[in-house]
Amino acid sequence: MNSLAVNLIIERLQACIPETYSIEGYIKSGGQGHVFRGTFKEQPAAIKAFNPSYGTERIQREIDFLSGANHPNLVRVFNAETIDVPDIDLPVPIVAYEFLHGGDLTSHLQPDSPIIPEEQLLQLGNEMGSAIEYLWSHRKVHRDIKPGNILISQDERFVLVDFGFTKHLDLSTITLPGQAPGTLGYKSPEQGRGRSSLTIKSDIFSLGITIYEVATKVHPFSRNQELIGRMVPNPLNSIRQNLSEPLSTLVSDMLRTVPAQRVRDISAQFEYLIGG
Amino acid sequence: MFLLNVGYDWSLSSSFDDLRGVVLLPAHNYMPRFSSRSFDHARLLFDPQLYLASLDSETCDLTCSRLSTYPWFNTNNLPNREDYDNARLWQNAIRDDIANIWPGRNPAGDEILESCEQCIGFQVDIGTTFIILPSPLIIEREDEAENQAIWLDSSIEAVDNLDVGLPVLATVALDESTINDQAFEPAGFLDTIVDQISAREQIDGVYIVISRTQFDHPFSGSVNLAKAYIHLCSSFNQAGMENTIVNFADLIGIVCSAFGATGFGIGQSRPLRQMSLQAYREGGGGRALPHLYSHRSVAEYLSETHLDEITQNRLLNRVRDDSPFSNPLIRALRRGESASDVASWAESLNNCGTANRHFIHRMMQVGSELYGYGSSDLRRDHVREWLEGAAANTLYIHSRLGREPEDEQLGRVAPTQNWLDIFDEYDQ
Repeated sequence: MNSLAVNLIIERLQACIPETYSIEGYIKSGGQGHVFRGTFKEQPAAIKAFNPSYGTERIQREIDFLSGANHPNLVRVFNAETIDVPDIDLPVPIVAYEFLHGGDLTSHLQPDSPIIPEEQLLQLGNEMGSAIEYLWSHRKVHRDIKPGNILISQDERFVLVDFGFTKHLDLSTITLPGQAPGTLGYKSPEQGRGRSSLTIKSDIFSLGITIYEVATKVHPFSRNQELIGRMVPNPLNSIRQNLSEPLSTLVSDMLRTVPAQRVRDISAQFEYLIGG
Repeated sequence: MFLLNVGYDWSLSSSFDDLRGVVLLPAHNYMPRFSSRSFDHARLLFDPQLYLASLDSETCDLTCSRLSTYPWFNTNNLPNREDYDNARLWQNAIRDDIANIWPGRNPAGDEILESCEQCIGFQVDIGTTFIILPSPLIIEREDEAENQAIWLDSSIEAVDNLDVGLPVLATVALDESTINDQAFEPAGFLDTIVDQISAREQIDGVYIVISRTQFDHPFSGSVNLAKAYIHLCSSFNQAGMENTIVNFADLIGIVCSAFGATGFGIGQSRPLRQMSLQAYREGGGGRALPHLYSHRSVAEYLSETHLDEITQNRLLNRVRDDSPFSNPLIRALRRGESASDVASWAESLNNCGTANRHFIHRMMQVGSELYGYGSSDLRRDHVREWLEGAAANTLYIHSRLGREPEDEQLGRVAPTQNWLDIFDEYDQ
């Protein structure tokens, strides 16, 4: 998005947002809306202005869950409101999240970006494993785990964001039949088949892809959803040879085609490797 | 472990001193019967049979009457037992009004948690050694077992609420119609079911029942039916499930023991050997002739019609099966006599008590042998040898007599070659 358009959006929002909010800069835009750097009640915050057509039910679900969640690796919500913006028919939902200074993991996929050491990969597996286990204990599945949805906080925590695709098992799906939510290239085989009743094993598969890609800068399935479930990726340490065999095996176990064959207790497995 | 399915007739379960496990079945018993009797088997299971909730009370009025006395079916206006002088009058009152009492559907919404609590509480009260969680019959592949998942989570909540300190088994109750070839694909329908259960760490095991489309002889089940039982056992085993019990699989249960099943349930009669909603229709059954079960040929032979011909052709050693119940028959046949000379084996209508006891005794023996092996590899070898031996025996017998293998004039023979093919597919 060019700077003129960004400035225009910021100006329009600044005219409508409550006094407790301030917008200071632009971070990114996506299908869900725009994300800005700013403050909420003088705390640094990431302020997301949702596209009203994204679906109020999805947004409300994300806010409802995150407002009640208490986990260091799930993004915190400070506040949620809807505002009226001139020339936009529907109220615009805005949400203030904790601001995560370190950016997301896509920055580590660039060819010239520094290699993430093994200890940090283990931390990533442990913390994200803990986050998705927390979600599953509430019978929720994130369904869109990928490098772009994992951010790094100032105190170097990995934090999972973007819960718009999260499905609670006792709610009817918001996704219409035939629409498979998630990001192509990161969906588990069962998610790719359009299965709606996913379990934690689906998020474990997507986390396996994420760790593999962040560790090697190579996507295990060449970002091709068609290949997922139809091929077995090369072991992690065949691409990056200085990685340990236990980590390589664990990631391979996360990437098994059949959900029940995938590793369980994922955070504990990574914690064990950290300890070892 | 072998588990005896206990229907209405409880005499069998008390006639074997070394019977270690039983499965109690509400479809065959009104609820107060269980409350007034204690069981002292090492393994006592109670199958809630919620998968029968859609039975039609018009065609299955006796079974629906029995089931309606269990609160988890959420029946309406069940007559109060205390208002009747005896059990028979109470049962008749239920049966007379069953069309109004029986809902014919699964409990839904807020009813689910209450049903789960009642069902689990009942099992605790009668002293079961495992809790079998209630689950509806899965009849649509496209549902992806979502309703089953809702019941699972409600059951887990109920177990928590009731503070149950017993191992918990999730029920997989599948209708055979859901099992097509695609169901076996990796991450396909059957793997979805396994995923739903194995992803829930509160579950200690699984109890598998597949309801057959046709109520026929237990050996006549489809290849996919046998394969589904084996696939599920193998998958749950790979998922690290500690307890996998298959029921109503008939002799497939023995094959399942090679792929991780820790127990298999069989009963003495057709409705206790296989599950089929058709079996509960009134007016069917009731007439049977005695068959000798032969484990070495995996076949059943009419005591006179088939065994006379087999004996005359000097093939008795290929089919004889030793038990305290069959020995008098085998001795008589060796002397050149017929089953008609042994009263308990004479081929007359409903003279099946001894034949049934022989079958159950053999299943107990097989169960002891199988689970006596310390390693699963030895168990697998044992099952393979049994199937290969049976297939060879059958081939020999039919070849000697110039008959086709499917010729029922020479007994009911299990499709052991099909089972071997499935065995090979999963034995990798």
